[in-house]
Order: sequence, then structure tokens, then C-alpha cells
Amino acid sequence: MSTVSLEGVWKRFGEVVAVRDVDLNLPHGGLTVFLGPSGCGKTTTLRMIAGLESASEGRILIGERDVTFLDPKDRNIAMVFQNYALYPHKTVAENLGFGLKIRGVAAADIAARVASASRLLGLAELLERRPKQLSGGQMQRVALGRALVRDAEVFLLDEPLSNLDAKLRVQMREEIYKLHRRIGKSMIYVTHDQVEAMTLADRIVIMRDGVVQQVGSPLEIFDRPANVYVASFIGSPEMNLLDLRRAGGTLAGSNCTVEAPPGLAAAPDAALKVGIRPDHVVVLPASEAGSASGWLDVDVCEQLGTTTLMIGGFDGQRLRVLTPRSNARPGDRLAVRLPADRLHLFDDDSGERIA
Amino acid sequence: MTTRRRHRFPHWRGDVATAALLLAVLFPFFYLIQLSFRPKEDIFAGGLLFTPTLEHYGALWHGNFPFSFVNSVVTAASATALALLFGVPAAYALSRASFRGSRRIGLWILVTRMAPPIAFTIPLFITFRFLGLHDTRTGLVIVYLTFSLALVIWMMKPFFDAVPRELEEAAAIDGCGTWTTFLTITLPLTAPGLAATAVICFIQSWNDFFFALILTRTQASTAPVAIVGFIQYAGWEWGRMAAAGTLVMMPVVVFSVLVRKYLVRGLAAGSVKG
Repeated sequence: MSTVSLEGVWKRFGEVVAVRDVDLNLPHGGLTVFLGPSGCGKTTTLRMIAGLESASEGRILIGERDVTFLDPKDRNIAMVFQNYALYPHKTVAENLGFGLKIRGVAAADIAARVASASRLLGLAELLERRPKQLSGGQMQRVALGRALVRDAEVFLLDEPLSNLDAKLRVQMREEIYKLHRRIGKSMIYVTHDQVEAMTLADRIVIMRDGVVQQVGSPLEIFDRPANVYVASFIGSPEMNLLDLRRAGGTLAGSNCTVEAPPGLAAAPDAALKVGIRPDHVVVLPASEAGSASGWLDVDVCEQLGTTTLMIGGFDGQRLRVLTPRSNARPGDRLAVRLPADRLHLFDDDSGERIA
Repeated sequence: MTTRRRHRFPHWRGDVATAALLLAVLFPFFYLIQLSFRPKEDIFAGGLLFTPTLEHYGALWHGNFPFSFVNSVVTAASATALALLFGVPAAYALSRASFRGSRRIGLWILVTRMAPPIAFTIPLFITFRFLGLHDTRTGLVIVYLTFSLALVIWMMKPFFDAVPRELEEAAAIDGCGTWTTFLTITLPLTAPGLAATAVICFIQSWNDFFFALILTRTQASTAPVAIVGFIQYAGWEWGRMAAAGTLVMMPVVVFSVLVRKYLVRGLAAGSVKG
């Protein structure tokens, strides 16, 4: 069964290290998303898998085959580029069939495969047009189609939706999702949009500064971020990160006491980064203020319709709280509790998860 | 903005200015052409009323001129073909490769065009004598090639720069090697530039008078040189000169008209990406 594996892969551009010691093992048939901010090395990693960049160090395998030193054409991959990269001097049909023609597939066979791919993507009417005569969404479909007809082992998609407007993006996202389910091929999808990553992926690889931060299913990553970076990168509104200190069975700030999760493996008196998602913070009614972890001094109240996002000071630090719609106002002082089972604890120095 | 400008400069003024300019520019050409059809007797007679004759063309046909004309065609075409053959891949390499000093190499190539051509005549003359290239078509082609190469490289490089790398990467993924990519994707996309370059190259060699005069005598002399031959002790053969001039001019005009769409687009390329 074909998989893509990277073993100790590095990429250096002169002095700059773009990708640092990446080890990955991507399962057959899955949709893997490389997620990270721009410049994190996700596209470079993809291009190394494609063979458009050479790895400075390490091995890349597709299936059982070591492709590290193979040309792109010998890797049996298909790729969708961010700006589509359709051949402007060829019609849609020629664009779709070019890869097959170059590989010496018979003309009748090419026509049949182009026809079936264009039916699948709703391009049947556009086959005689040139890329210039297409809308952004149509160009995107042609780019997908060009990858589809090839029947490649692995599909690589480099930020394929970033040039589309918001509405079309959601629509194409759905189509890519369905397409993947339908053809069942391995796909690697690069994006900086966490919503795309969460909705599409079987598995997310989060990268930063050329280093893989965490690999896991979308919910694994959301529920158990491996470090402070992942915690703040995934989830919207962003996770709160408070600087607290361990004090026995509790986590204390200067003016708050948060119950620590049981079995906390940290030195007594250790400084910790304590993460909690805004919707996990509980606002207590005045009658239960006794069990509060501390007080939230509301500065900003954003009404989002169903929910209200309150931002304010908590123990001198910033805290975002997402509650069902509330009529709190700036200046209010609310009792809040940070439930122990909702906390994410990270080492203060390394930022790694400890519980 | 547009409407205001239109208002200030009505259409007819532009048309008149264009016509006046055209007349001024084209007058010598028309004069030359009509001269070539005039009977020998009233060649400088005023008025446009005359009986057109082909006597001058006939005289050319029976003289040595066809031979020189063929020399011109062969040398200019060969020089152009060779310049494209070597220059286009060189321009592509300079556009794509990033090796040490790749920018400087581009400049060195341009330097060959910076010295005045007359500076090369004596060395060329002596070298050609020594190598037995004097008064040969091969010799002329070599000289034209040296000058055309720089032109081709510098004209084609921006066209290659304008072809997005992603297209070539897409082709690589689709299964093309370097040469297939170049021939099936990159080169077709630069076709207008290629046409413009080829025409300019051809015209440059075709129009050359100086080197042909110095480096040829009889065997390889080209049409422009042959025209000068009509200036003789016995008198200046205006009719033949005009006819020969018209013939020399024709390929240039025909080529320019054929590719003028590309020529304009080609020369303007690089100014705006797209």
C-alpha cells in the first residue's frame, strides 16, 4: 500500500534552513494537511515530495520506492498549484490531457479520460475554451482535473483555494472533500487556513519554522495540542494562555486560585503556562462566587449573535471568555471558574505539553 | 478623464497629424519606388504622369544583381537561424539558471555590442584573410552571427523571464523533461517574442552594408553592396539603383507587416506583466 514517508528530511537554501529534520509517515488514501503560517516550510516540504526541490538531506519514499533523487516526472504524482499554472496556449481539453499525451497514452484513451474527469468536475461545456476565458473557480476545477486524469499515486495540493473568494472557497472545499472520498487516493494539502485544515483533513501536520510541531487528527490536535504554539494556532477564538505557578494542588496567580488537574507532573512551585479555550471558561452566577477561580474585569464585549465574546483582565492577564449570549457590559466584574479537566498545561520554558 | 481629453483633442486633429507624419516618413520610399518604374529618359522629370516600365528590373535580372541578392538572402537567413539556434537556449539558460556570475555573463554578452563596429574591421579583415574566409558567405555569416547573438539573447531573456516558473513545474509534474518542457510549454508561449527577434535579427544582417563592403569582393558580395556598384565612371544608373533599392527593401517590409502584431507586442513585452 502506497504511503509517503519522509525520513530525516532537511532543506537548506544557503544559510537559511527551510525544513528541519522532518520525519513523517503518511498513510495510504488519507488526506493529510500541512498547516502553518507562511514561511513555516510546508510548501517547501510539499515541493520536495513533488521533486521540484531537492532535499538537502534525508530520504523521501513514495510507496516502497525511494524517490529522493528522481525527477518529478518519475514520481507518479499529480499536483495542483496555488495559481493553477494552466497552460495558457492550450485549451481546457489539452490542458487536461497534456500529462497523458506526454506519457504516450493513446489519443482515444486520453479523450475518454478527459471526458470522464470533466464530467466529474462539471467542465464538459468548457473543454474548448482557453484558461483566459475561465473564471477563478473554473480554473481551479481544471487544475484539479489535470491532476485527476493522471491517475497518480499521490495528489499534492498547494494552497489550492487561496486565490478564490470566500464563498467559492467554501464550495470548492466541499468539492475537494467529496472528490477525495470518491477517488480514495492519498492527498497532501498545504494551507495556512486552519478551518480548511480542520474540515478536510484526516490528519494534520502542523509546522513552524521548518519543524513539525504535531501530527494528528484534527480533533486530537484540538483536544491535546502538543505545545503552546499549536494550542494558540488551532481554534478560534484563540486559546487563553495564562502564566501561573504551581502551589500544591492548585495553580496560583497573584490574585487567583485555579484547581490543578490531578496527577500533575510538575515540580512544586514550578512556573507553568496554563491554557484554556474561551468557551471552556465558566461564568458563575453571583450566588456561586465562592467557588470562583478568580474575577474577570470585562473590557470588551463582542456580540456574535449566538454567543458573546468577553475580553478582559483576569489576575492582571488577558482572558477571552466565550459564553452563550449574555448581556454583560464593559466594566462588569464577573466570577469565573477554570475547570480543572479543561486545562492544558505547558512547561513555561520549552512550551511543551505536560498535562 | 478620457472624455475630457477627447474633448480637448478632437479626432480629426490626430488624423491630420498622423497623415502629415506618415507622408514625411514614407515620402522617400514612395519616391524610390516610383523612380524604379520610370523610363530611363525622363527619370528626374517632374510630375507623376509617366508610363511605368520594368526595364530597370529587367536590366537587374540580366546583370549580377540576382547573385548578390541570393547572397544577401543566404547570409541573413543563415545568420538569423544560427543566432536563434544558439541564442534562444542561451537566453533561456540565463533567464532560469542562477549560477555564480550569471548576471555578469549577461553583461559581457552585451559588451560585444558596445564597441563601434568599425573597431573590429581591421582585425576581422586580417583574420579572415588568414583563415581564407575573406569574400565567402561563411565569413559574413560568422560576422553577422556575432552581432545577432547578443541581440537574440538580450531580446529573448525578458520573454523567458515573463513565463511563470509554475508552468514549467506543472509540465515537469505532467511528465516533461527539461527539453520537452522548453519545447512544448516555454517556447510556444514566447512565440511572439521569437518572431519579433527573428525579424529584427534578419533585418539587421540584411541591412548591413559596412561589413559586406569590407569583407567581400565578388563571390559573397550582398545586395546593398551591389547597389553601390551602380555608381560608375560612366554615370550613375539611377533607375537600376532605385529598382535594386526597392527589391532590397521589400523583404524587410513584408516581414515587418507579417509580424507587426507580434513586433509591437514583443517590443513592449516586459513593460507590463501579463
